[in-house]
Amino acid sequence: MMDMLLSSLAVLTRKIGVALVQLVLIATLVFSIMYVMPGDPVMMLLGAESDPSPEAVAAMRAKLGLDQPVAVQYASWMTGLLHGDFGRSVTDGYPVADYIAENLPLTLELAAAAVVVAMAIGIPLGIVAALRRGTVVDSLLTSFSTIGISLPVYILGAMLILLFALKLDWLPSSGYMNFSRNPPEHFRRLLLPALTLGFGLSASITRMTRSSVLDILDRDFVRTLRAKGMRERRIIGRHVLRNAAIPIVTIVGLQLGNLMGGTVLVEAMFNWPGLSTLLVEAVSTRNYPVVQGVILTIAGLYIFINLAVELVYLLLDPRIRRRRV
Amino acid sequence: MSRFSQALRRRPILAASTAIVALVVFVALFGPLIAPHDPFLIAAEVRLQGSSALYPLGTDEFGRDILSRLLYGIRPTIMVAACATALAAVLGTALGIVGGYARDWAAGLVMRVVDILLCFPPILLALLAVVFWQSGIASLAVVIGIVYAPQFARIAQSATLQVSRLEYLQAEQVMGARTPRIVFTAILPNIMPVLLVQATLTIAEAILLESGLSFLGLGIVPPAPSWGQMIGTAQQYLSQNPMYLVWPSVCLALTVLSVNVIGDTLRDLYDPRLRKE
Repeated sequence: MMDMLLSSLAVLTRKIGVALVQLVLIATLVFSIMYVMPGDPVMMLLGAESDPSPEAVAAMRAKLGLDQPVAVQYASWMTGLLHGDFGRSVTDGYPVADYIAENLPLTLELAAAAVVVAMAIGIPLGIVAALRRGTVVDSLLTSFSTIGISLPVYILGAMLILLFALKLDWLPSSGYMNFSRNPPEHFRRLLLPALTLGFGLSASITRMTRSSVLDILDRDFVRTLRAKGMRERRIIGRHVLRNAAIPIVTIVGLQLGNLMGGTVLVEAMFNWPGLSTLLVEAVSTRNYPVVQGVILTIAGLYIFINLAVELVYLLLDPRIRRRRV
Repeated sequence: MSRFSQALRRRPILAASTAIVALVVFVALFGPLIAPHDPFLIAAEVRLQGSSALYPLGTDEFGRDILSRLLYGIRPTIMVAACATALAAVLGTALGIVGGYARDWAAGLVMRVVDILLCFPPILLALLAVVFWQSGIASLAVVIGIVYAPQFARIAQSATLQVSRLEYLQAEQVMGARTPRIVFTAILPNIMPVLLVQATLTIAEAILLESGLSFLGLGIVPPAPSWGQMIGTAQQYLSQNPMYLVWPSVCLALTVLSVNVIGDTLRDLYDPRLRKE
């Protein structure tokens, strides 16, 4: 027992160490992109076609700290990050960290809602497909998931808006309502973006649930339970699903990165004021400190989620715990 | 290729997908010749109209013919996707072969960097690059190509590792063949099928990424048409002309779906890892 705990602890520290190294490397990448790309950020901000005076260019460069040697800039960027300082917005001098703190919760809310929607759709459909293996229902569900995986979110979103907002007039087509001002309206406006974002994930979950349940159904213990005369409903609900859960958790975890990518388009499409809306705005105004901050935040989230998923496995499955020692 | 043509006869969905892709390529080449109208011609009096004899698919917010814009709009998307995939394939394969065949420390370094890049959603990397660069076909192709190179590197690396364990490759090493010879005559031809499959799937992803950027208004610069950008614009005029949104969406979805079907079939046919199972 004791050495199992110790080895788990060793795995844990190693995983956290790897995640930290990843974070540092990504911070470095985000910083260095500015120097790798051919454009000059100062000229872009001032507008190269307006032909700014050399004094204006030099003043702007000094204001942004871009006149410092690269090593100095890098050091101050990294120490800033350690203090939670992501720099300041170029357009209004507002700290980037404040922007992120304001927008991050909404992105997290949307992503969480999307995962809930995806599991609510994907797991039942996957179970049905597995239990009706080889029938019309199964092949219908399988082709549905193929389409779901390759359908771009902005097309799916557009179709949902057409259907639910325009034709049926059930839901607002876009926009955001503050939760504290009108809770029911807040969730009504969350529904379409969450559905759009969750649909692709639900397709992967359907597939994974189907194959995972099929795999477990073939096991000896299921036959034993059946031979004992246990009801099918109980076998599926208590024994099969519990064993099929790990691959499903895996696929959700692995797809979270795609989900964060998907939020970029979905937020823009539904005017959901999260991180990605901030990001797209900042990209189009060349507000690079904001872009760097947001991207670093999303990458950090992604690394953190991956770490969390791996830790959950460690808790869920003692086999993994032992294998990794 | 004979295996593919056999599959073509047996699977109607594959045949339909191939036909759609052929049509898309044809339109990308000759679309401007068959377009009924000038896609840039603004006609305020026919804004956002539905289908008519004169405008088969209706008109957009400036009264421009949607069909003509669709036909013109394929070309930039296909150009970006094809060039980006070519770039990703060359860059990624080179990195992957280094990762699979070079000395331990070099291979380790390359693959760690690849892993880090892989954990980024592609659209974020693309956005990061777009901030510092003018948008346009060439820069989009380069950016998207770099973004997808790590995926190729992963695939190429694992294929290289498999190949380098084969006896004839070890025989070549023993006989003193130089590394370039081994790479170009023994490794590359053997990992080619896997790379081709990956290239097909990457084309679909690159089409989606370009369309996504254009959808956000950060890709192909208006007034030049592109499907993603038409979808983004059409969303603002949903209540006036919903079909304006439907046409480019259907075109894009069908194209991507078809390329994916072809990619999946190729993978079933040519990927040795799957064939063994």
